[in-house]
Amino acid sequence: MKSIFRGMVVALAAWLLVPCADASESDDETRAVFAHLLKTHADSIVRVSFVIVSAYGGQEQRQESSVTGVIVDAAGLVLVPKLVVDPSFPGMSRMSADQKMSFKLESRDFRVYFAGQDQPFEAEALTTDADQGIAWLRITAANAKLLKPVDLKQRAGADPGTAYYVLERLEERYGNAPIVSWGVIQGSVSVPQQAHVGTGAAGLAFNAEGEVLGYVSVDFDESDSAATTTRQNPRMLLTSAARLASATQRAKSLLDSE
Amino acid sequence: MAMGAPWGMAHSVSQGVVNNPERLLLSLFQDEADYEQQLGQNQPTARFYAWIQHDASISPGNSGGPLVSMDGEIVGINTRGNSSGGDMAFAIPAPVAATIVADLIREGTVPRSFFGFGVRSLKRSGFDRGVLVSSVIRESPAALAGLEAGDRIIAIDGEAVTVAEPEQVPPFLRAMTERRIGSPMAVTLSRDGLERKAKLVSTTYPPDLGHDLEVKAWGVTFTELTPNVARSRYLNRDVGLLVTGVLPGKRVATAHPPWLVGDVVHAIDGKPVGSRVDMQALDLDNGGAAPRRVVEIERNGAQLLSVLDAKPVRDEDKKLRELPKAWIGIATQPITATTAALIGGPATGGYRITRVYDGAPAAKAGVQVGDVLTALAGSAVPVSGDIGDEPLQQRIREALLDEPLQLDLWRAGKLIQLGVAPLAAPAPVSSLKSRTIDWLDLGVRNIGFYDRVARSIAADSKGVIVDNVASGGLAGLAHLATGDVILRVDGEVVPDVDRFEQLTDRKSRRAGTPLSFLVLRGSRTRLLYLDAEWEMGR
Repeated sequence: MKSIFRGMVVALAAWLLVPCADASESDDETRAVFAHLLKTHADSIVRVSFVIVSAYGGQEQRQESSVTGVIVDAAGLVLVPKLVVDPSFPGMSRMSADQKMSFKLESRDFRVYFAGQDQPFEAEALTTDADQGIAWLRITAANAKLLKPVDLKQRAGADPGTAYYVLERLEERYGNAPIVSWGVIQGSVSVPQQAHVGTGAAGLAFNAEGEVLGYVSVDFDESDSAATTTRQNPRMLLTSAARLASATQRAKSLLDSE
Repeated sequence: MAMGAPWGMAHSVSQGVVNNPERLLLSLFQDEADYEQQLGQNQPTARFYAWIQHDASISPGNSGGPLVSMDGEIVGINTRGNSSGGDMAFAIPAPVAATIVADLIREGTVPRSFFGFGVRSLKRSGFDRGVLVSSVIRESPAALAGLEAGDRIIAIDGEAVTVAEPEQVPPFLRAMTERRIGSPMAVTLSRDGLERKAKLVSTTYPPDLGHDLEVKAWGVTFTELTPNVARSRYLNRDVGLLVTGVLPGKRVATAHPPWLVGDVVHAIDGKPVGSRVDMQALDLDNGGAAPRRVVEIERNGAQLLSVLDAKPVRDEDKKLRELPKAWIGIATQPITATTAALIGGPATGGYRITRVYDGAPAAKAGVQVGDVLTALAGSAVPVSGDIGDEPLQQRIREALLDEPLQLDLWRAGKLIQLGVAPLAAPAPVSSLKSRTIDWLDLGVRNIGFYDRVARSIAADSKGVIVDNVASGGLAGLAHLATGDVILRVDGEVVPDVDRFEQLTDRKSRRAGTPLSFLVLRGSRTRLLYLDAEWEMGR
């Protein structure tokens, strides 16, 4: 009996130890990925504050908010979600002409906070890409030394099952510290556009090596009247890094035309 | 008979009967003393008379028209009714109106004496003689003479007075105001069962409401403070400009802190302002660049400083642009495999070309209406249903500008391939350059590609599109309407909004001349005028 018991204990210990060893390896790997991403890209990640102004029937309200932005060009282009510069809400497109006349919703007073800088830099909305759910701000008078853009040419393709990582910069009350979130590509779609469907964090997506995979945006279906009530989780779409790079080049070309 | 111009239809007559010759607009739930209080807010009519209530139908447009007896005598001036029209109407009694007319002709104003006390009738008071003092205004002649609310006036200048019913209050008050300004009035009072004497010396009746004014460039409307308005709002001072409206997004709405309705402006850059004249002297609506301003405002008893940001010369509406995307100039309808089989199309279905825009890249490449597009750049474009070609348009938008894009097209049972060089998509309407012409209450924008398509406007024709016309503004009085294409102003061609702004510049126009607009509305051109009289009336 003793030997049987001893054998069971050894087996149980082995069963317990093996996963522990795997988890530890996995943790080490994750720690290494996070450290690499933070070291490589954290300087490109900024905090962007802005004011949303809404007015209806002559009554105006303002609310300050902030999001993570990514420096994507040395000319001072900052990538942000489209809703930051062009705010809307589900059902807004179905407003009547009269309602639209008396309703206003806009963003203004963009300010970009760099790590280690006590004063923000003013920025203005440059352009948007509704297809990818992104927008570009332009910092109007930035210190060139602070502009360390992500190189969108350093990119890779993504497939279902690929894990992706998103760097964020926290709010001022957390000292604007950088953090890493992650997600996974669940599948691919070709309508209404060619994109991957993901779950997890939204923003500029990197792989574990720090290459750009694309931009993950939240896809609100304005035509879906029940979107806000029946579908709790709007879809997250990742558009390719190649598309993002091409669009950023076009956004940059607007600077020359001004 | 009510004579007038209901809804602008002149020379109209309606008929009815007088329902009550002495109507006070007082509900069952109001104390009669409330009546005068509410008049002092924003409705300074009927303090000194009771209305003639009648049921001759009147509507907006009848106001100021006569109420005429069957003998042809004017018995009243129609003034109030239902805003939606109808047969409950109220007229100012003709004798009251006649007195005012005579005063205005003789003196240019209606002189009224002010004593500073309100009264109520004896109804349900238990008294059978006199009139009750319901309120005494601080520092008024009545207050200086020692009158108190609750006193009962039993005689004036030795003659007994009695106001038994509410309808008798307005004539009593009118008699008070018609006394010579500055003359003494001996009053016998009853207070706590004892009779007292008091002597009141009237002053000039203060205006209930001040002048209204608007500073369009700032997006704000004001009314001048009067002692009456200041009192009703418990303000510390009775000189200043009360903010009555704030336009979102304009300068005062974005000031630091933003202004609110109910604020009172006392000074701008250290200069006191309290009247329309003060504001006009600052020339704030000149359309030019505006410096930063520091404004002293009173809000809830606190004295605040508010800073208005500087404004550039032109308050150009900054448009948020959409990224320029590839465009080849086609409209399509999705064709499913089932439909394709019926029309002899490709087995996989595709996108049938329904329109090729003139001069667009697709037209230059030879794309024709009826072609069925099956692939872009060698890659099939899936069809997701019968409605909407967004998957295709999305793919086109992703293409690179100026780089050839191969189209696989099914034409007459055969597959052909054409190369198209995409251009940047035409600017969407929302990003076209626009201008707001404040004095006309008019918004215009340049004509864009999609306007030309929707209105069949030739590519070389010039003009601007009317984006919005404010209700009651001068553009509205000129009968301009949203969607009009303004081709000429005063005979001059309008190529774009910059030129339109020059042609409608108020300062460079000769006073007293009408402003003409040649507009395209639908398929017809129309000549519209802004009558010089309307403009001068502003």
